[in-house]
Amino acid sequence: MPQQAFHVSGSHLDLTLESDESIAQDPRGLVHVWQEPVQHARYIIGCDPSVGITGWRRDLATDGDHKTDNSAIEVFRVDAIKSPVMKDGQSEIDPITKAPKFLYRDLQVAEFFAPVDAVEIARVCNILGRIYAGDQDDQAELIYEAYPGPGVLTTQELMRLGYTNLWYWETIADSVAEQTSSVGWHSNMNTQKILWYRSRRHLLERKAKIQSQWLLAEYANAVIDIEKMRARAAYGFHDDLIQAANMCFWAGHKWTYDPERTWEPVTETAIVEPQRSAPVLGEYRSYKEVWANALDGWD
Amino acid sequence: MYSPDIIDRRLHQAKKQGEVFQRLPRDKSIDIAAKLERLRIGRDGKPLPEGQLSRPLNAAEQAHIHSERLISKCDFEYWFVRYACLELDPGVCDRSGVGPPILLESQRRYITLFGRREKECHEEQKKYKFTEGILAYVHKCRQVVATATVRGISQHRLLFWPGTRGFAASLDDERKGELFKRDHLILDNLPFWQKPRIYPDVKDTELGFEPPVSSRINYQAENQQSGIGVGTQNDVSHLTEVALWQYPGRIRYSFIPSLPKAITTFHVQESTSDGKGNYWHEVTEAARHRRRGYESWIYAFIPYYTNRLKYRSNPPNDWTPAEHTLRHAELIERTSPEFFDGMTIHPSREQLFWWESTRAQHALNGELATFLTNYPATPEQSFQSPSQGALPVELIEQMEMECKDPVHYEVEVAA
Repeated sequence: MPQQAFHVSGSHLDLTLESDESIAQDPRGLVHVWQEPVQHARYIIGCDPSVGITGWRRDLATDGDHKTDNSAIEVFRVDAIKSPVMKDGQSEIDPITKAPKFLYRDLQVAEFFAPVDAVEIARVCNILGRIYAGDQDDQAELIYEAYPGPGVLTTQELMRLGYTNLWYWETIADSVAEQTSSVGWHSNMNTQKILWYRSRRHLLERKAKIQSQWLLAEYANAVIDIEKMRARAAYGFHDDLIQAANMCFWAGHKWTYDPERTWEPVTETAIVEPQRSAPVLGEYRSYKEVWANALDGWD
Repeated sequence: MYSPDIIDRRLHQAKKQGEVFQRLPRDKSIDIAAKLERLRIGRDGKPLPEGQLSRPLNAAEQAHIHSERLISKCDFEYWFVRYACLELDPGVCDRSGVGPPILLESQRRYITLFGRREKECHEEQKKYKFTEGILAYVHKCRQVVATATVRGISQHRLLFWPGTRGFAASLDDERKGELFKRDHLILDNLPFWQKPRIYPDVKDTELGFEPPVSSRINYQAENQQSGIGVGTQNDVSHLTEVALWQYPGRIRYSFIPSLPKAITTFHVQESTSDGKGNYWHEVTEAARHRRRGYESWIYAFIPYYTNRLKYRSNPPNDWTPAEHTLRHAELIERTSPEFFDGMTIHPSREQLFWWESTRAQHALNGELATFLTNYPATPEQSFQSPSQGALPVELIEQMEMECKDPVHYEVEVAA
């Protein structure tokens, strides 16, 4: 039985009484939940705020507003699924450790999208962030597009609401990744390109389980922008959910610092693998030293 | 004509006015029609000149003809499965060659949807004295007898509803000729007591029925110089292979205005999809989600598993469905209620084996997008854009298997 309601201060989510048919016709403005919050899980929330329609409400939706960009929120549980890597219908075994290989996957647990403005979406982020706080106790980490666009309004509203577990823009300079004092994702041609490449790889490696038909539809309808080398919505479709989800993957896996999670075997004894070591002469000394001695002898 | 309620209402009205008729089983109607047809053969074994019989019809025969014509006029399905001869698909029928069809599941679906809308039209007409008629998009996989059924409906209207103006268009001259050929097949094989005098009869271009029927139909190719349907009004119209049309914009701007907004209007566009982000994608999704301007359009999606006898293969005894085949079966069970009035479809073992093996063939050749376009289980699968898509078709297909229905919550934000 799904939980009837979630209360956060004066705000709340209540199980809807609307028919499935009505929701299928217009899924906007509802929070769609696939998995209720788990206390010790790690969640990441991605948000793509839009200019939207100030004061938009689901019960006052009009037909023309379908073409207005949605503000979108995605909630993912990071590395939620540990599943064996399958090969030819069988669990793949690491040739060295003889242990089965595993794949960690992010799980989409909740979603919200509607043509609400950048302030109103911050309020929904505030509710979802506190419901899906998980191992962060009070607020899940939130990444959102702060620049360009109306994200500054989202920042101000989140501050007003006391929501501070925000993702800060990161830069890589002189090969060192650093957090800046600037909040949120900065979107430009280069960052969007790298975000797409990373996310595409993440999806191709099946490291995310997408449960929403609406997010999937955006991925399915996305086309490659040849000039910018990133995915964008085909004519007549949205790509707000894609942006929110991709930012979740980025922040959830700290791609600025930790480009890719690798799997390393844990064994009781050292793995003897000569190909992984530099050639040495006799007892172990530094590579440089050994060769210097060898060459010195030839003088 | 399509709705059981409207059919009953019409026949009840006929009965009240003193008309005598009797519904007969299909085989009996066909049998009697064949016997009556023998009256058209002379003593020398050759067909008699038009309008002549070897002997006058007796009272029972005249009553039978009257009854069958009356019921046929009111009930499309009654007529279609008895008197409309089609080229039969031996893979799904008990026989091959030319003959009246046994309805497949997809055909029942078309007739059900047309009937539902017909009933709405009558209610709108009663309430507002106005209705737009039956307008439909049939979004289908390959070979689900959509064209044959709609050709049957068109001919039924032309034959039994005098003065009907018909129109049919397809991609090019060859396909237009196919529509003409199918119509002629129906007309050529009608019993003599239903067959109108045909004039004019211009190959691939025009058919007319002489008075008192006085109906006519034009055939056009989409790639002709002028716009389609310009300068005419069409009560019954049928556009096929629409997704492949080079200039689909003409449908909206030049053809749709030619449709009368009336209870007599019947208009169908049908096609298998061809890419995404195009006219067919836009209009079918708009009708599916009943967006503004499309509320009264019928949306019929016919996935490959609709006709249980069509896409199937005999699985070996030791066949075990692959993991993705099992997930595909789950996808069908999850999505089929939307397309079949809430009914969950469970694909058969034969259908799943066909899907797994045919999909593997296509995947081997790098043609998975073609496979999904031709044999989709969902509308999303049918719209493929392999050259432009940001993610590979294979991945989208795998991701689709993992989608689930969520629980929905309303949000109330404290100000």
